[in-house]
Amino acid sequence: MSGPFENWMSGPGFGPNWMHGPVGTAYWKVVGAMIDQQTSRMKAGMRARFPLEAAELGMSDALEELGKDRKLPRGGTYPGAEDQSDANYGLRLHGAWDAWAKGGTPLGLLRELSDLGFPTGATGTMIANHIGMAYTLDGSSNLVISKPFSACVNRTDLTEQVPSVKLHGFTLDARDWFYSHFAILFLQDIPTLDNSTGNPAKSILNAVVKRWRCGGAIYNGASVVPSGSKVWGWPTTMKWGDTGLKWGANGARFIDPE
Amino acid sequence: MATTLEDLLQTRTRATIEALLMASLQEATIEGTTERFPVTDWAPGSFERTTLKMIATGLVDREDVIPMLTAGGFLGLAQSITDAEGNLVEGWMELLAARNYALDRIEAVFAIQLLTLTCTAGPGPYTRAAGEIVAFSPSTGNRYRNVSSVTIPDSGSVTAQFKAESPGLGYNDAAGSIIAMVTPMPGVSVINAPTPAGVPANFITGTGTIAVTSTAISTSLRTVKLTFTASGRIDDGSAKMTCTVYTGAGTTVTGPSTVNATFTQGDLALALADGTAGTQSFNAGDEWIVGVPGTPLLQAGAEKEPLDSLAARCSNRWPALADVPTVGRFESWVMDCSRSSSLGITKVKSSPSLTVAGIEDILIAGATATATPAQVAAVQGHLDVRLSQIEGAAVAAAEARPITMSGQVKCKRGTTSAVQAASDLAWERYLALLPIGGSDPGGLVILAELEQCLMDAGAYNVSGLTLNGISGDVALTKVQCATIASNGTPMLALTWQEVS
Repeated sequence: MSGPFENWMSGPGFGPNWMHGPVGTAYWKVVGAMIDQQTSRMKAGMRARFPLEAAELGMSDALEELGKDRKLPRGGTYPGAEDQSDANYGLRLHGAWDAWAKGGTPLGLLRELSDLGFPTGATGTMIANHIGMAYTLDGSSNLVISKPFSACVNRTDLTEQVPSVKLHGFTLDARDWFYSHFAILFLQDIPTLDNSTGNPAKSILNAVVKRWRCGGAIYNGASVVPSGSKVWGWPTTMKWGDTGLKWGANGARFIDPE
Repeated sequence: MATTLEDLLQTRTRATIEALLMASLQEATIEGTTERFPVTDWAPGSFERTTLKMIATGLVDREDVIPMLTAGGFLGLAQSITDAEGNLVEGWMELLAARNYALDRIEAVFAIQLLTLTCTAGPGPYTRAAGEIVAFSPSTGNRYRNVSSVTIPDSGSVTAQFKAESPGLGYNDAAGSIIAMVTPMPGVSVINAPTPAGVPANFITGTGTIAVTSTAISTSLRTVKLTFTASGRIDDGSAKMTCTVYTGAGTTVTGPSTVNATFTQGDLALALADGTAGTQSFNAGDEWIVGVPGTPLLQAGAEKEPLDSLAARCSNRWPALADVPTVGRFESWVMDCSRSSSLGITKVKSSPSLTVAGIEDILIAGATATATPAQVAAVQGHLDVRLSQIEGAAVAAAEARPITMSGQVKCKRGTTSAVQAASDLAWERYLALLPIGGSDPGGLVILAELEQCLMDAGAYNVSGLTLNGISGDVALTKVQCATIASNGTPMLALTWQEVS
């Protein structure tokens, strides 16, 4: 499609008649097209600043830059896949205002992990904190809060005594009153996530937690607990001394915090 | 149509534009024919070729703007935009920060030192208006002027604030080094002496007072905060307080305990006194904060904020949108405080407290020095009024890790002073950009950077370089910041030799 400069410079309104004619018209048409192309590049450069515009232009690398600015890396179907479509990534960056408003909350952290390819749902990613609250996302990315953990035999109340009706929790610190700890449980296997140094999924997990955790909250690390395996405190039916318990069996593994 | 950012960031030269025009003309047909332009026959210097060059030259001006317009919208790119000559164009990043993120670049900060002026018996007293006394450091040549009117008593001394003549890093002269005056007064000597404790940050709303009584200069760097937990007086034993000690290694809280007339914390001794009888000396929530030992550097000088630091502040605006404090939000608050109060804080590190549940420990430091007590108090106060009653942040100065150096440097004859000055500044800038805990991975202060500073400054050869006595990198702990013992002249520690 012809641009405005191409049309103008190849038309009679541009310059004296001797500049036109069969040769001149074609000549100035090419020059006008070059100016139009420059203008298009300027417009594209400006539009690239805006996530939805960059997505519409198919400028994947502009989206990556905007993602760095907004601390929202491209998501994917599994941690490290980075295969989120430009359209979806553009929408996510456009929604940074709302996403970051949830920063520091379980909802914000879980949604970011979900966007980056960590599983959701009842058997997906669970945040477990020291005082026994568990947070997951349902299929619509809504927060589900529960208290599934068993009673602790040694958890003290505010009088520093173990009450007769035992308190429920997820012990993450020898100091029972140190409420500000939390951990993450993945209740299904994540094949790409292991505890080796430099594991990309581990790096993504720890970076997300660092950016999205609440100030003052201490992250203790994550446990991957595939179906049938067990870790300390999960499943909640497991008790100390049960037969057949073996650390690390059936793919259960711990992922260190950074 | 361009489809990638990378393409738009490329500056197309006149030759490229000309080639594109030629290619387009080659493909174009002359109207009413199937004939193409005979561009291969347009010899250099011909009318057609020359006209095309003129048009291409005119279009290059527009072309240069495209990468700037494009990069100017991205934090990661706007900070490194250069003009056609390769010079950094800082305005784009500043514009992006101001217009999109509502953040202004932090201007350079003037160092302020506390100087003690002592007059012998006889020639005094002297009274001088603001700016009339000019003191300087013989080792750096840095000059300072008194901020307000000063009266030096005969056979006595007075301390007064002196402001550096120019802003910047190079003015953070070490304690005890400002010992001369450009405007001498008979019988008067000057020094920026260390003190047992810094100027306290006092948030006492009652009628009581607290004074430092210790006289020794401590070697244990720390910030001490007294927090009153029960309102009352000393004489009836009703007032209670806690003592929090912040060091680079962590935070220690003792108390609450009954407030007595004297209080010691290590080698810091305090005298606490009641106000008028019948009044409340201390109110619950009152705070008193002091740094030990006291440094004469009341406000550290700092360079104009680097563009990458400005970009990081802008990026941290996103986490700052959170309803609850995140790491990024804490860091934003600290830097906002530094900017609005010209504190010169350039380094922040935040991590959850391992000793007090729910508290975020925040370490701060200046460019080449750790934070002063006044800076710690200012930042703490800034955070306190922004946090809810169930949140908390404990601000402390990062542990200072002085970086010393040794080694031999050879310069061509007559160039030593210039090489020293340039390498001093380059080394200070390197340390200024080094975060608390050092560079990743490993938290290192890198020896090769010292060598690069010297060679880039024009040294002929270097050998036997060491940092802190080892010929290798220095590893900082996670709570340490690299500091310079002799601000302004770190390179004087090296052995210099001129060669022909």
